Amino acid sequence: MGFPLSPNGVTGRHRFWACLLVLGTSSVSVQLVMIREVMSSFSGNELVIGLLLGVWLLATGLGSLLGIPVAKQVRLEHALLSGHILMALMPFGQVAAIRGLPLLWVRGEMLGLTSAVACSSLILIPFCLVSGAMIPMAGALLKEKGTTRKVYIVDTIGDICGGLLFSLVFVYALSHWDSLVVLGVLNLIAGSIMTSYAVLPVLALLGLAIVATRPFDLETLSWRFPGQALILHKNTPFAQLTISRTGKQLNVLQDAIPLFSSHDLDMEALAHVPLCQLSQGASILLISGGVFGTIREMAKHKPSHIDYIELDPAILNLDRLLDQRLSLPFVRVHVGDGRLFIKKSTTSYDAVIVDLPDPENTQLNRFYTQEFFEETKSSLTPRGVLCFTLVGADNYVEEKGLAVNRAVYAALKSTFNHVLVFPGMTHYYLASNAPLTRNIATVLAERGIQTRRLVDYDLPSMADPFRIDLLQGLLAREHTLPNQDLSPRAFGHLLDLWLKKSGSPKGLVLTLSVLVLIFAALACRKAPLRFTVLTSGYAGMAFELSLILLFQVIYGYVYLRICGFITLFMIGSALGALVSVWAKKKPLLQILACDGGLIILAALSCGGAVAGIHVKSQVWLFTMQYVIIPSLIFLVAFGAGWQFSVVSRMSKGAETDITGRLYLADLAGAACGTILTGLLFLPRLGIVGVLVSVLALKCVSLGLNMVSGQSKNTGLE
Amino acid sequence: MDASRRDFLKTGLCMACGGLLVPWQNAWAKKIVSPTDAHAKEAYFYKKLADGAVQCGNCPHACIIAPGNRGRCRTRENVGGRLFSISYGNPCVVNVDPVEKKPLLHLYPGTKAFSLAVAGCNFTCLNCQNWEISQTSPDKTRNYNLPPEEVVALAEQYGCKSIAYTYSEATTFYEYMVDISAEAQKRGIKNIWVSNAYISQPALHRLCDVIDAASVNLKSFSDKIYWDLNGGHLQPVLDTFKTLHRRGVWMEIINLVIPTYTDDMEMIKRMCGWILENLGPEYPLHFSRFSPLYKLIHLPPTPVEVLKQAEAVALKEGLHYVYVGNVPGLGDKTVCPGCKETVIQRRGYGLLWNHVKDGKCSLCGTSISGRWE
Repeated sequence: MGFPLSPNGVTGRHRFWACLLVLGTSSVSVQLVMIREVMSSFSGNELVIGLLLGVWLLATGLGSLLGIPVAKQVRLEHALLSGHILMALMPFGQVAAIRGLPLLWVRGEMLGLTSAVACSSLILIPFCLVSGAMIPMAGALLKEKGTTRKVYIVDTIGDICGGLLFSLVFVYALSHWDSLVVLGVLNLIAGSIMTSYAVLPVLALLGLAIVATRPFDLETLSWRFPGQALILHKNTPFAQLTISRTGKQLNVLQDAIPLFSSHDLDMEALAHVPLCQLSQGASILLISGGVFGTIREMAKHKPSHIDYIELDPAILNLDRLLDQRLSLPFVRVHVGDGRLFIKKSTTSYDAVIVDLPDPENTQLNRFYTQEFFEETKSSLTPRGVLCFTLVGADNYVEEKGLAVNRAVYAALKSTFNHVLVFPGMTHYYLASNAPLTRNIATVLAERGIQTRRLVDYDLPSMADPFRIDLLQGLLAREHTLPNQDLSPRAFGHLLDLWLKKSGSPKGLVLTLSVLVLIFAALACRKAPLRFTVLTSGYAGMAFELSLILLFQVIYGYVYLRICGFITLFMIGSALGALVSVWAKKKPLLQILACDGGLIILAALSCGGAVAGIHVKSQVWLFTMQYVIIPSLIFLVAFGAGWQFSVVSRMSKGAETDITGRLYLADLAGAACGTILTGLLFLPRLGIVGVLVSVLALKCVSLGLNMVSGQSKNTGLE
Repeated sequence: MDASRRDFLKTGLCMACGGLLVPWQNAWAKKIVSPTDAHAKEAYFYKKLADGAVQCGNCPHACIIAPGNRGRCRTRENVGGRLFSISYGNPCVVNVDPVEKKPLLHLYPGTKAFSLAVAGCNFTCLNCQNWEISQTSPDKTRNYNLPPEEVVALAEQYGCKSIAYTYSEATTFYEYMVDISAEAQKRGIKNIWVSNAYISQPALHRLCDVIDAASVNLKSFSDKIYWDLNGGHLQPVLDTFKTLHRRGVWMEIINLVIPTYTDDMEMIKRMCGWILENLGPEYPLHFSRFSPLYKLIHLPPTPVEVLKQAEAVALKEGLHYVYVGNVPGLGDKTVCPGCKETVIQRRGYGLLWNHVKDGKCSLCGTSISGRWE
């Protein structure tokens, strides 16, 4: 059976482009689908996701190494056809496995880090190995010099397409399963370019089979919600929202964790505890949670108006099914980031009530920092009150949970004159510059406000002076460092708390980090140039994480803007690699310049971070948003892309080897960046710590390149 | 070079496996207890075995513990071939609660219970509300130094009618509980054992000498669910109920209704049948609403209608006192089984009125089971 197109010349180039574009598109989109699925099945948090992303990158890197011998020994078109078929089919099995695997454990149980990471890795690694192996194989189609640079550029363009397709189309319009159907068909089309006409019917049949799997979406999804009838399941850019029914009870679940159920009464405390501090007719800003009954309870205090802001518009749509209070005349609904809203708002409020989850990621941590409290204070009237909740305990706050509370308490105490914490399963924090009262029940009785649970069940222990004083004593420990935007300590402590709660081995994160480092060391053993690429991979990931967090701190969580930054980063990488081809002289000098440039950018970013969060002037805010942060992101990516390209030109050996090994180094570096910065440095050292780690690493790279440059040892086999 | 790479990988893998295998409560990290420690007390029930090992006799796990190690509850350590409770006089939580919070609705309503807990538990319930103290050991918590006589003195000082051994699993601080109870008994203070009922028969018999009431969990009526969710077995729990009944200890039975696990009405019916046959209709049965907590977080709360259904099943089976717990507005009244009138009305944990006089309904004279002033 012959191929309809010759593998050489123009046709080989077509295959090269088709393969890498589809490969990049699929790997990024499938990665995003899988991570969101893992979030739901394995109670995913930053630790699970960070480690998993690290494993994904490493496995893809390993795949690219394994692809080298395969590219030399098999017929490339056959291998790539098989690769595309596998990439089309595997994700369905993976999604089904991710949804079904928790059934092997106790139903409803949150799995620990070991089980979550081990199971997800086992499920995902085959895909990563295949997609990684296809990179050098696709490069081998060209059979010319400079292939690695071209692979890098085309693959990055594919990544950009995948990221944009998922973030702008799939997440709004399609279910995860349907997204995989589209990607599967794309892979089969790419596969068809690799093969003869005789195989096309087989591929067409496979395509039809893929489309025919759609009913399995709901079937496999229902495994995740045992005993519940699914009413609605919706993807949003932020999470997977589900509404289920158990008997007459409606349940709202976010990433498969119950968020709210009919008969829940937690909102009583959140509404009444702060509003009892104020006269009736207060003006209120409510950040999140309003559709779950909080507005109904607030209405009992006859507020003058309530500004209610919600990040995810899909949550607002739940009001039709749940409380139906958003149409009240004194309620004004806004969609957007709560912190940004406060920053921009010129209105003064009597109460700012934050109903958000604990600071379990850097995005949420922004609502528990000293800087946020200061911004809120300036939006409050002189006797205004800030209220929010934080992880508590019925009877005993253990050390990790206490550390979270202490970091936030220290930040709050440094901002407000009066801080009062009501203890319980959830701690209710009140802060104001005016004195605060503990006699909530008395105020409620005076106003004739009835509650179903708060007064009779919760307040007797919440407002017990012994319990309040005991907690206050524990929180007010001296020398506690406050939770801050650039040093998200509460987030770090919360990760520790989760590790303890889930019974995960304490050393697992460290052990995995060490393993990643060992792997990274192996990836660039005795090869300073590969080490350079590795450090750039690390720098890219570390910069991306830090600068996006910095942007969120200053400007809030703006989904499209953040997608834009990630795209900008990838465009920078591709452009860097593309442009480098015109600078052919003194490659070593170019590498040194890139190292130096990244060092300077790390130093500038440090300064930008420290100065940026204090910026108040509109001109500077505009400049930071539209010039400084995007420029930093672009330049870092541009430098890393340029350096990758120059290193690939300087490397000796077959192009396939160069591609495979450099991809391994780059992805190993990115994996280190994800795991080390995301899970260790950022929560414990803050943004500045992460950027300093980049600076230090790049200094080592620069030093090594200078030494090896003098000895004329470029280091690549 | 290949050999060194293999060595490198091998070392890395060994390190990784080591990291994965080191358990959270690793032996090397724990504090070694000495018999002379202020909070060490030789266990009341254990057997010495060969080679310095001991077998704990406190609960049905009957842990065999090598020297220097601890039992499953993390509170009992083999120190030189003798078993010690390591937390005697060392509670980590002390509160004054309404007795209704235990929950005990037929025991001196409207009175206060001096409540204390020591860290540790012989179960591993995935939905534990107090996991911070139950799933750790006493040397890892912030503790008070409270010998038995001081506990009793504090209970008196706060005007408590009773002392409740609660929050974690009281059986794991058995010696402390028994000694406090004996002291309290002398001073006319009642003793309440709040427990998962997972205790050995000899230990239970000695405990029954000094306690007055028990709030005991019957977590399900299936041995498999007991093992999956709680890390224990059903039969020893049922044996505990029978002994408490025989020994005349007042008890109220708590059943947590967890969706897809213990919300099967057939199982609830069998459970009520067993209670009726072995204990009679007089002990209150509380059906509690489940909320996603600790590790069991992927299940929604129990629908209220399911709890009402369970209540109806239990009443139909013939139990006299059935309550729904953790749902405001439900389970707040005690109805006389004779005239069907409300004899006790509560609001939350507070008492609104009590028409039980001398243990009888003041309206029709029917005896109302419980312990009354």
